[in-house]
Amino acid sequence: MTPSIPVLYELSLADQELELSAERIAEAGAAHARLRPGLEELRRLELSFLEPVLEPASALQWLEADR
Amino acid sequence: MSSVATRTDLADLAATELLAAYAAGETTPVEATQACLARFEQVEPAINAVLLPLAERALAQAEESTRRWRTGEARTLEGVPYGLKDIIATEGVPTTGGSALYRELVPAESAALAERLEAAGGILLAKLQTFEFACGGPDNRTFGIVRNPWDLARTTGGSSSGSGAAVAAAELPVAIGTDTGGSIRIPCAYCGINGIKATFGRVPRHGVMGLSWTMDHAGPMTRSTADTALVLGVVAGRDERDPTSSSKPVPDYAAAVERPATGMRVGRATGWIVERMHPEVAATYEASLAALGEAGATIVDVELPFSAASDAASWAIIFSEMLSLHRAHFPKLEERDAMGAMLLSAAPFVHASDYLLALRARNVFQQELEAAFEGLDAVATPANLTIAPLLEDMHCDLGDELVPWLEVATRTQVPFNLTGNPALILPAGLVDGLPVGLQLVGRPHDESTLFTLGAAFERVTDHHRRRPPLVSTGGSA
Repeated sequence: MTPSIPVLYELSLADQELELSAERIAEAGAAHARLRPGLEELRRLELSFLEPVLEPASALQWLEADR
Repeated sequence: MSSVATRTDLADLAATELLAAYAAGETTPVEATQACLARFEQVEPAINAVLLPLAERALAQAEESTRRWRTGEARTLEGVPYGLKDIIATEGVPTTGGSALYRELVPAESAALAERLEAAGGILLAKLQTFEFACGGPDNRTFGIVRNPWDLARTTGGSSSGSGAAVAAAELPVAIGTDTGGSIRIPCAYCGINGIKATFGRVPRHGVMGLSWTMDHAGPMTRSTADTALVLGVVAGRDERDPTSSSKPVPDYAAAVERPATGMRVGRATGWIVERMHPEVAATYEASLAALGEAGATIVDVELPFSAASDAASWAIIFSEMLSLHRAHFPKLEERDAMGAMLLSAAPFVHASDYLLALRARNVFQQELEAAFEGLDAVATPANLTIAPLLEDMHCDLGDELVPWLEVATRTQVPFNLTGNPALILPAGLVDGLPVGLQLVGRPHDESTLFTLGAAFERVTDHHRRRPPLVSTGGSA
């Protein structure tokens, strides 16, 4: 059985050595729920494994490049 | 004396107007600084935009500026009073971040942009209120709520709350704000003033408290396009202390203000970005596009590549970088203001893989936006989709529903933090007596085209000259 979001959050926080109250965890869950559909859409983006490979620095390099 | 300086309260003049009056010998920086300080007395009890006034220091600087004008040594901003959002470091002057956590911080070094403003002859008159650490929400429990000069029951937006209110109430002609998801542009729109989030890297972030290092921008908030261009020209350019600052040369923005917009093509944004908008705000936006047409531009529709996915990418980056920067503050979460505590508490749940995916995907959105710019000089969007919300509930009125502020306030803004494109805000009219704005977005490093369009828009409209009732009723609106 998949653990509930609050339980997952508590485990994740403990792993990161962070603490939050139950109210804050609920608030965080609500914020994540709002973000979730967009995040799922983002995860479905197909980014190339072969050239051209986008890396985290690509966007800032693109801005600075002459076009 | 004659002309503009004797007909008008000096506090109401724009920076370029003040400089012209100084050059003509019609007034002095000392008189202008005194006028701004008198405006503080008039409106501060109502709006609370100023976190730390610096009267004594400013008047001493104003004396020096007055001398320089007399002796022909005036610099670019000689004698222009300005304020800094209080996340921008100032040597020897407290810089709180709008937070009790840094109430006693006195930096040993100024931010690069603050050094540049001072070297150009500007007069630092005040440190200005901010949402705590640029994300804490309008109810700053350490330094109080900043109120919108157009309606004291409403927010200025944020996070550059004090900068927006102070410039709108003409306490200062110029303020510097910062913008991670709209924090320059939202207060500009809600308070009826001008401002720009330039291309990412155009203005160095050295000495500016960080929220999200790949999304943070700093820039001017003013009362005219000419002033915005003037001040951006002073603060822009590479600084080695900010490795992300751009090495590209800074153009002559003042020259761009003088060019005609005739023949320019502006895309009217369609799609996700404008899906939700109050009908009267939409009507005012359409009227502003018609005015841009009168100014010589051709308006054509363009679909922008933004969606819930680009929004999620933006927030995944902000959350992740915010937690990295503010990790040491996490145990003190309950000492933070409400919105900041909420955002920071949500941050640990963004996976590293999603953060990295978002960083990689932003180049996809950049390239898709670049393709949308084909045949266009700029893209227009509404600056705000609703009028400023009431402070008591911070909900935006879309006409048929009320929604939490963050659900719509950043929708036209944060996509351009993600792509890094420059975005200029222009006052575009009033709805129910409250300001709405027009946003013009440019290609990377093409702020000049935006200034040309903005100045042309201001030649056929007078929205940027409107002042809130607070100023004309002696601070008791």
